[in-house]
Amino acid sequence: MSKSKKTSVDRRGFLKGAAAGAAALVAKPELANAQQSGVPPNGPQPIQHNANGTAAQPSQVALARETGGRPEASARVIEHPGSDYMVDVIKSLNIEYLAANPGSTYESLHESLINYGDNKMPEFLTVCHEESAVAMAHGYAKIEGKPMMALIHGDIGLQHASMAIYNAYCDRVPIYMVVGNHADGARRRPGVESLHSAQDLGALVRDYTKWDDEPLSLEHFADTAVRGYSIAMTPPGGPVLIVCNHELQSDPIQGSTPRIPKLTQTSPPSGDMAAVREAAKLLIDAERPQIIAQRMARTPEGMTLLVELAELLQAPVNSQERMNFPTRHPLAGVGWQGYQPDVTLNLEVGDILPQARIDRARGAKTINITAVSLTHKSNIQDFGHYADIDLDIGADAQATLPALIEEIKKQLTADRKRAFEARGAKLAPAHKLAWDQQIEQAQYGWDSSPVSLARLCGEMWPLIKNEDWSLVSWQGFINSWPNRLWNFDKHYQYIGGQGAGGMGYGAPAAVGAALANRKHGRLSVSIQTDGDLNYAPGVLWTAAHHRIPLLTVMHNNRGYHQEVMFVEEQATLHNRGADRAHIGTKLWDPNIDYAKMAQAYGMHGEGPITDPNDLVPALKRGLEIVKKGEPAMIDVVTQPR
Amino acid sequence: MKRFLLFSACAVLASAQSPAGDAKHGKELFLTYSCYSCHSFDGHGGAGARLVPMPLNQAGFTSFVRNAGRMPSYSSKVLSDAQLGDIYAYIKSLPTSPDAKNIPLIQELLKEK
Repeated sequence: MSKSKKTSVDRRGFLKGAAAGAAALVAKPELANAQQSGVPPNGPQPIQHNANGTAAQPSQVALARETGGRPEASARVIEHPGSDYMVDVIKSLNIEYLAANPGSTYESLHESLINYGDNKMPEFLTVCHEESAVAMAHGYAKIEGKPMMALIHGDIGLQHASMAIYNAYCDRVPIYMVVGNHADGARRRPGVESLHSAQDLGALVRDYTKWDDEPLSLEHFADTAVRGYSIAMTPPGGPVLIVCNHELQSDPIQGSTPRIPKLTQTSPPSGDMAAVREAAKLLIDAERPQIIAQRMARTPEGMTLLVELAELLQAPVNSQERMNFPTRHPLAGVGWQGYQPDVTLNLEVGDILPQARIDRARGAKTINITAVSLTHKSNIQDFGHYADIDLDIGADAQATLPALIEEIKKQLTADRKRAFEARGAKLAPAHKLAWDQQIEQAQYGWDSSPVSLARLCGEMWPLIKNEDWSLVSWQGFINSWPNRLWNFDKHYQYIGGQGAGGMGYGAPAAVGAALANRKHGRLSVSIQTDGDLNYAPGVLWTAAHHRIPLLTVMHNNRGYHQEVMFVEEQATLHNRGADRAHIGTKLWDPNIDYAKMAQAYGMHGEGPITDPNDLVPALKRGLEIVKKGEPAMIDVVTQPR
Repeated sequence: MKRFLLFSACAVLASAQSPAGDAKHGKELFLTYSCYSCHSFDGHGGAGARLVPMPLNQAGFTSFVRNAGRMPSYSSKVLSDAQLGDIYAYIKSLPTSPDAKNIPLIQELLKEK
């Protein structure tokens, strides 16, 4: 063991109750305290419980350690702990950042990262909740296209992180997670070390991690660490978990340092050529094809390929979930009014059944390309429904597009090319008409107070459009107004949604995405819903502490608005009034002051803004701060949606 | 929307004129019964349809609310005709939005490529 002294105090539980008396207690001689408690100072310190089951006041030794009292000098020095080697392995993966809430199960690795590793590649980012750590990594990966690391404390931290892991899993986003554990029961002390450890720690989140492993030696750790990175990145991406036992971290390296294997990235699966040829034929023969793209463009190259395919076919592209296609491209949208697709090409669509039903009802053909078909699990139902479609290609859509494009070019005749051009000539004005109508709809409620979301997004656009901007928040709760008013034409300009619809993702994902944007000098803006922020607002402190420039504009409708509508609907279905729909759904009485919240966490905050005429000056002040490298928040009280 | 328009047409034919409602009470009901949650505080829509300007007369409005399509229906047990009349009066009192032609920012957006 790396330390001669261990105590058994719930690090998160006792401080609140015991801090007041801690100073006096730690002043007492340790031996005397130990004698009073009947426990030797170097021995395990079990948690004492009162008759009512609540934790009793911790022992004096425990308090001394947890409140800053200096532990006894270690009886020995470990010159080369295993955790130093782990840092070498992690560094080989070129991971820029790790986010972590501190915990003793990974204390040796923590120390090695910041001292032996010089706190670089990865740099340690402090977060106030493990869910924030993983969601930050989620947002980061959507911008940067590679994993960030989340370092997690035992089973308690992993359970905190679990919702964010689930979101990332359903969103097919690579996350690199390392979690501490005390595996060896003979060395694990009673109390906290046992409470924070598990026999099979990965089992807690295995249903929604792509892969997990618990290496038993340093050689094994190296293989697992490198392999895990490769697995996370192989489409469909996903979170991987490496259980890192305390003993492996803290025991000295025995003998020669194990070799670090090089990272060999598995290539993404591409579609079977016979199936690709058939897809090309269906698309060429179609009179009114459509393309639906959800989690398709993993990288900027994905967007380029989709534009090439759409222009080749002159087919409209309905882009969802991600930044797959430029919003103002003449082929963006669903075609002209009354456009009835006869072939639908689905690219990484989450659940194919709804579209398959529509296609079947009108006698249209359905093609599906997704790598998710290759990686089904059993419990979580994120894979959606089975659908009897015409062509199902189990492959990564982005990796398959080059072959599909080439095959279409090969099969394309002059006649069909002329037909495509004629179709394109009709689609372009239809797109323009639909676009203009969307913009004109922004007039409704333009002068209203609370501020309309159209006005909010409309006023933001002129302030950012000449910057290298990135929207690092989801548009689902804001009626997609940015999509309707702004010009999205770069892959990093939108990060999409949570993946599994789990709230609490928005704020940390925005901070993680802004972190990724920082080194590129991009302006990150987030339109942040109030309900989401309140899950773990401490991530605002992380943004302030680590100087992550991000403009957060609150969509403060003072409630869990979706649920207001749902409860209202249920009330009417039950033939009862909706006059109680606010119970359990609203965040008012008292109203939450987000400007003060931001200030409390150390960033610029102003508001609440209720008059739309006050918007632009406040936004400009916020942007000025963000451009200097700091986060800022503008609280805007908004219409519900 | 089609259903809304259908009721609109029916409402035009409706001959009975309902008594004028109490807009102040209607505002209370509009907020208490969460009408705002779909239609916004200003009635200009959001998740639900725009109510301003209200295309229906009061009878048509009441009929629509009783037999709504996508929107949850409200029976007379939940909201009486008189209460709906008050809500209707409140909606009729809400100001319309400025025309897009008179909003410079929207005009600028329309000019963008």
